[in-house]
Amino acid sequence: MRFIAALLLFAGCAPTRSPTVIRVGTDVDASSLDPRLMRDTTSYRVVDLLYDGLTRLDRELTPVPALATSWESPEPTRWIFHLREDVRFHDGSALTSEDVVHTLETLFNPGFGAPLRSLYEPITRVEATDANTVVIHLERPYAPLLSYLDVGIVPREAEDLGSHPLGTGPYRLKRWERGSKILLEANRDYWGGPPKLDEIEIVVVPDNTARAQAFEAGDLDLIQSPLSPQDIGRLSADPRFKGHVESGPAITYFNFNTSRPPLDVPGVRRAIAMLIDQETILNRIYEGSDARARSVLLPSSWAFSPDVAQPAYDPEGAEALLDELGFRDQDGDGVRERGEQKLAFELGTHGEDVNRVQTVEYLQNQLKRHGVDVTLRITDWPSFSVRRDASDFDVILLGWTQLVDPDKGLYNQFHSEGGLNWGRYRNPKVDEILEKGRSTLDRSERASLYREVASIVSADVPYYVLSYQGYHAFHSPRVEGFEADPRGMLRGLHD
Amino acid sequence: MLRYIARRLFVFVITLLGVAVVVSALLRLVPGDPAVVFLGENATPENVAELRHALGLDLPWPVQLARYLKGIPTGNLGVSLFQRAPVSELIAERLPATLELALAALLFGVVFGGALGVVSALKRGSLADLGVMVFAQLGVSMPVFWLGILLSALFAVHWGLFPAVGRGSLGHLVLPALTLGLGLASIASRLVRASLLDTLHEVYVRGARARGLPDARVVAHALRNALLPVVSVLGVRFGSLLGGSVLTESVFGWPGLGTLAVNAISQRDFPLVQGIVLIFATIFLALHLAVDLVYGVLDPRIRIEAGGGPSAD
Repeated sequence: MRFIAALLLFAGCAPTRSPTVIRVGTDVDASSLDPRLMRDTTSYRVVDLLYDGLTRLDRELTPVPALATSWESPEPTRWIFHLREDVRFHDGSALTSEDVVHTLETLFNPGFGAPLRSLYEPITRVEATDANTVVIHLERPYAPLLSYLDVGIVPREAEDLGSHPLGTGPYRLKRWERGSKILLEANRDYWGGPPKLDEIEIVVVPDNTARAQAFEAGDLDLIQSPLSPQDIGRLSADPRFKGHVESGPAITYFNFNTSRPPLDVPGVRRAIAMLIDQETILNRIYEGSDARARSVLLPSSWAFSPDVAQPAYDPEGAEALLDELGFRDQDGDGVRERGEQKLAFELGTHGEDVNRVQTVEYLQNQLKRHGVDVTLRITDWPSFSVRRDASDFDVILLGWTQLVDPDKGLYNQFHSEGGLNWGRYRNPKVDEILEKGRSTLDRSERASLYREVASIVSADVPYYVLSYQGYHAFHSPRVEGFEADPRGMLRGLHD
Repeated sequence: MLRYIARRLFVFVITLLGVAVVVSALLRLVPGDPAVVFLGENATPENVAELRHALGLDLPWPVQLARYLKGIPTGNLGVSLFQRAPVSELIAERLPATLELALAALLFGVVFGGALGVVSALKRGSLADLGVMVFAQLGVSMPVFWLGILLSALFAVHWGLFPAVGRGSLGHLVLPALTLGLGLASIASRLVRASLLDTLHEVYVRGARARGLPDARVVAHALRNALLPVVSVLGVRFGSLLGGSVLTESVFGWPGLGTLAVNAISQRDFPLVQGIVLIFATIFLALHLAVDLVYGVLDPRIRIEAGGGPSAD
């Protein structure tokens, strides 16, 4: 008896391994932990740890098997997915094909209000043919589909997943103190093997500089974009930390309203593009945190080609072009005109991004020197988006993120019928190629189609892409073997 | 006294009702559509129209308002458009943090500022007095945001004495409370100094001194009266501590109502903004009521008249 008691005492006193916890800083709290309703970067990054999709995008943004082990497309409008067996949700219930059907069906339900709904619109029907097989029927061939099927699969019976997430991912929610932190714990039964860390704590620090300071003070182990250019410079020079730089799947661009004079003339848009000193803006305002863009194609994309290039900075060339188009300062007021038409327009952006505000202010001064009169309109994001959606603007500076497939950054933006073609760009040739890009499944053929679109767009200048947004991450020596992901996903902590 | 309180409570309720109506109306006048913000960059106009309908945003404003007002007495403040959770729940999660920070800042402001004010008044014209006045000037003119970053750089990054971010232990509270409370401490020090100097010249104080009362007792008597204007100002300032903590919260990752409010406004999350404003208005009005009542306790000369507000005779 005494022996057993001693044994129990010994067991109780045995040194226990302290849990491995990594604290990750973030700028906003997650708005929802339901993969169908997420809309901010924190939600994206946390949901990625809690759930799995049918596919998963690797670091090159290529869809690879996740909950689906394989798939085939017997005809371009029908896709068959074979599910991994013995996958369980965090509550122990088994994943079935019905859960996949439920997840995708709620995504199309207009009342559900899924932000990414438009990406799934070509899907007409989803059916579960047996417990481990799902068939997706399409209205028309849709090549980017696989890239969008990384959306997390949710159990069909669960409710209020936004606050009480239930996925199949490597981590499960332990505690969520809204506005403060999200604590995740390892899912030891994960189908991909138990995670390396015991817990991941996502800590919300809204201010960029304060977050960098908390990292320097040792309160955080990992911080990542968005970061202030000044903090990136300081942390990069600090030998205590390891930094990662990736080209993110995101761009910052000027959108021209091609239906408004004088910007309805492609030559005028080209001349204005030639007056934008990309190098100075990116070095002085962005302090080198973002890379100089060449076209609407991302360098990390399989469709990229260095041969496709938008007009380069060339002030003399721009002046000659404007003279040639008949825009000259005839009345000596410092502003060029052609007849009654002044070379003047409004340049807008949203006030939340300080770098964008500084960029438009800088450009206003630059363009004035060349006889272009620019008025600024800087508002908060909601007001900005109302005018943008109504095409009530001349030129605006904004960004695209999560461009996981070339179609996502081109189709809706440049197709005459595209839902995001706010600049009212019309080009039948572009429409035709974009349609072909969706219905062609061969990747190299698609790549050459998107290069053709990008060449036309570079010449017509409905967009002028200022930069490829950089993704930056810094971590302390406590974080071992971290592999940065250009979208800021944290699976690199697990794998 | 009871009739007075009842009357004040009635005005209280009417004012809150007014606040609810005005905020709701103002929100609809501000450009920006929550459905557009929620759906983000990939939404088509059809998606937006459908979501507006699903959320009831396409209903006429009076209908939306009536629904909202109907819920208030039962504590139903609606559902956040973005977080899809009850507004009352979201506020209840954040309110303790906000109150904790505001109270700590108030305590620091009153005790520290008050002590400086007393020293300054008693040592009028001395180097200490000058020092306090310089501190007061700096304290009110230093931007909270900058002060927060500075304190964090010194006490968290450089010396590692306190955590830089988060909430939980007493240590977490120190830097945010100092940051938020410093402005108040400055104001309190100046108020106490001015008020105490006035009181020390009153006839009854000089009388007390003439009767040979010890200095400490004289000052204690004088201080009680000198605190009157301070209490009224601090009561109002507490309201602004609640609302003005946004920057402090942002710098120290403090999970309070301030950042929730700012995010709700930038997202045009109408129900959440309305709920937060209503809660702030309730606290603010309650404080005003409390200040008026405390006045009577501190100064027996003040009699609350049944028909009107407090008056000094």
